[in-house]
Amino acid sequence: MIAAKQTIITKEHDPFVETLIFYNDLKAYGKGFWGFYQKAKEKGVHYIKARPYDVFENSETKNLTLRYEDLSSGELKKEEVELLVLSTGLIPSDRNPSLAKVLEIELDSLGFFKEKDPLLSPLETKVKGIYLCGGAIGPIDISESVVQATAASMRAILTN
Amino acid sequence: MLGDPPAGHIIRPSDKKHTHKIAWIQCGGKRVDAGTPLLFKGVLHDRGKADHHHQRT
Repeated sequence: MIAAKQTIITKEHDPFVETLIFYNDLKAYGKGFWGFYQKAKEKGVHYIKARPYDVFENSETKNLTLRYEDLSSGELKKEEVELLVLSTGLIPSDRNPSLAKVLEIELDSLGFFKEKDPLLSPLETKVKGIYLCGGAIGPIDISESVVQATAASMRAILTN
Repeated sequence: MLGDPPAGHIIRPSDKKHTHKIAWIQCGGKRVDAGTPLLFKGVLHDRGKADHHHQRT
């Protein structure tokens, strides 16, 4: 979704810039994400389901040629671009384990803080009075973080 | 990228050239081989090396 946002901003800035997104799987899981993806496509962003395997630079033009497997046809293709942006994943802070130890709360298998039960007691930890919200639990967008922060602070007020 | 430093222009950081075609690669760090994403390793400067790289992976 960050890539979608960046392409939309790029297009709004200069509609003549060609933008391509190479993706494996697309998960528009949050509120409004699907519409956002549609908006990017309407703006002319090319979504290519592909597995890029290498990239090399033309030493004169400094352009980059990306070689990829087109997953919709199975063909090997290439595309020359001027700028390449890597959308990297988000990883938890490496200081989470020490904080979890001090607070006596748990981490999940990835290293984010673990909720007591995501369905039945969201934002709660095993320790009474310690609540989680936002990026502590995992990757999240701003609007959802605000919702969680509101909920967590409400829980804190009601704890007694 | 679109902030103040390039004065509102979409430029390539390496040579400050105006770019007209940009690609995004999702899951950029996913292909990890001994700590280095393969795509970073794959940025090579001539085709011969690229072919060699392809055979290796």
